[in-house]
Amino acid sequence: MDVKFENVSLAYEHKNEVLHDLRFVIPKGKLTCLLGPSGCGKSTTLNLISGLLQPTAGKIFFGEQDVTKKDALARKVGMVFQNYALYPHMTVLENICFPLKMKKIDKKKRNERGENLARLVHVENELTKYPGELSGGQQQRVAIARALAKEPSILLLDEPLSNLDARLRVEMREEIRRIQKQTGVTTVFVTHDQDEAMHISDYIMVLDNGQIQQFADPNTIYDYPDNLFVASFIGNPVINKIPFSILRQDFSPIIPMTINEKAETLLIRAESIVPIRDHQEHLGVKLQGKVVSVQRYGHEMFVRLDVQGQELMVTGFKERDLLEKQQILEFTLRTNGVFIANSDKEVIWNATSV
Amino acid sequence: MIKQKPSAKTTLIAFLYLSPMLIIIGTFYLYPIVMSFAMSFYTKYNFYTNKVSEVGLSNFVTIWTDPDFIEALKNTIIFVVGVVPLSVIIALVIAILLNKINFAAGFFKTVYFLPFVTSTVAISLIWQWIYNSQYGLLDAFLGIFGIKPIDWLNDPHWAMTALIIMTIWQGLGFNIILFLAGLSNIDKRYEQVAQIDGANTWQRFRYITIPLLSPMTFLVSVTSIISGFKVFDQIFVLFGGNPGPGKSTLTLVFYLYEKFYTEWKYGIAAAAGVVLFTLTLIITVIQVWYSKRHVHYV
Repeated sequence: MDVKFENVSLAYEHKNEVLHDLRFVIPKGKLTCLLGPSGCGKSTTLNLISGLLQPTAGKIFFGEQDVTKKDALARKVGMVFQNYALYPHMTVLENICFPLKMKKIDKKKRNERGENLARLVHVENELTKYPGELSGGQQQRVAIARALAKEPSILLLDEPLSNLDARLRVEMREEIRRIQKQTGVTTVFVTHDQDEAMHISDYIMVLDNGQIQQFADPNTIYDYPDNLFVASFIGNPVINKIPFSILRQDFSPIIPMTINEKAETLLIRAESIVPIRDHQEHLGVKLQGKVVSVQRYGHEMFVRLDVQGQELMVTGFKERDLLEKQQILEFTLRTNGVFIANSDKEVIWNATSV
Repeated sequence: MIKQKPSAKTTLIAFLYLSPMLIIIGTFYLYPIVMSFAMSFYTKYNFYTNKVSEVGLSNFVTIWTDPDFIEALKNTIIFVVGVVPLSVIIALVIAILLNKINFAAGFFKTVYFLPFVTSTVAISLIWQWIYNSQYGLLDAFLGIFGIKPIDWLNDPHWAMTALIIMTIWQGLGFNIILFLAGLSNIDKRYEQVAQIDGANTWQRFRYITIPLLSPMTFLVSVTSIISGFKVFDQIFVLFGGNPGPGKSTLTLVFYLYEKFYTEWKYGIAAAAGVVLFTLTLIITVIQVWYSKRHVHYV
């Protein structure tokens, strides 16, 4: 079921508005991420979807149905919390079957359903164990199975991976993706980790200060950020930000006059700074900088480059480029990942338009 | 910490540190326990010269054939069965209500806790007045519903009920505080999750709160049962030093007290003590066994 927010706002008593006039549609059967720094309103948005919170203004629709006044139960949402909140006194199977038990489905039937779900999330060998005996990843799987047990209209995941270690996190995000695809349930996933969001989602909603910054699929977000915030929040290493004035001379020939006048900040992704010999898809600029440092981590090479007093992080060079400190380096920019923002922090020019 | 291998010297030092507590426990707990066990087998014994001229099992035979002892045993069990379940349930209900309200919760907690910190003698004296058949508040209250006055403290049929009511009331505060502590230990998220999982208020109480509260319920039950078996002072004051009208509230400890202090039958008193000890032990063992299967320590 798709979720529609119409001019939804939320304010806590005696405090400023937490969410301002949100409008969006979360598409049916897809995995959508709510992404943003802490305090941006993403968990609040999730709680509004779940019905644990009621908006101060605006309307919420599940499909055609207005659910604004309905609680979590009536909305039939399934929810997975950051710390899983598995009932510690119930076995894995009892946990998964709990929503079915509350629906008074008879024991045989609900155990059968529970076992099927356990197979789906790969915990079928742990059915008689208690949550305390499971690893973090397994608890997570059980929590997902429990949320799926009542065949929710929407599955909500609140930072589900942040309690897991790095390797498990990568494994579990693949798992969540698989489970979502297998069941086709509309899923909303909250995270502050842009990398996680990029890997797992069909769509990403970037939130900051209680406002939607951009809502699109991951690659669009990456390649066509709407504003400075989105450009710098997405991507690792963080996008290089330098005053446009420094390279105005070099850019003047390739950008329209109107853009040139309003340009304030130049944004360049680290991987978009490349050697001149890579001939395809260059911007017609030839720039120079001095190598400050070169660091290699496995297959990655991080180069710090001084360009007229501004330091740039560069990952577009390879080992074979044989860089040395203090060396003067000539480079160019790819047509992907170079943006210009105006003083309102909106992206007004994207190098792909050249 | 530096790991040291225990040697004779370090062990001695450890014992020195422990000695103040060991001496107190040894003098006032262990020695009397051992001695009273021994005393229960003294059948001919001079208390003043501490001379034992005969040992045997006849003390136990005597108490088992003493109708007073059987009565005391019966009364104690009735008392425990009357007090503990009601006390636990009422305390739980009040604790849950107190946990839900924010307004004046501190005030109510204090009010409920007051009886626990008040001396039993004072409480019993007040209840004597409440139970008074002519001027008592309780009979006045029951009179509103057309119930004839009951002579709580002098009618053998009602004395035990009177005792049970007062004891429940007195112990409520402590049990409520324990339950409140247990409730505040339960993560609020479980309620929230259960709500989303479709559990209504009753189901959340039944499947989440009760099981997660079970360690506290267990603790409250155990302490209530044990203190129930030890009941004495409430009876002593409430019935003016007598074991109730027609011995209707004669309990094990009261029996023991009478044998020891008024009849000077030390061996018999000790034997009654051993029976009380054994009963408490059996019940504790049953509770431990039960808790392994039904109490969820998280």
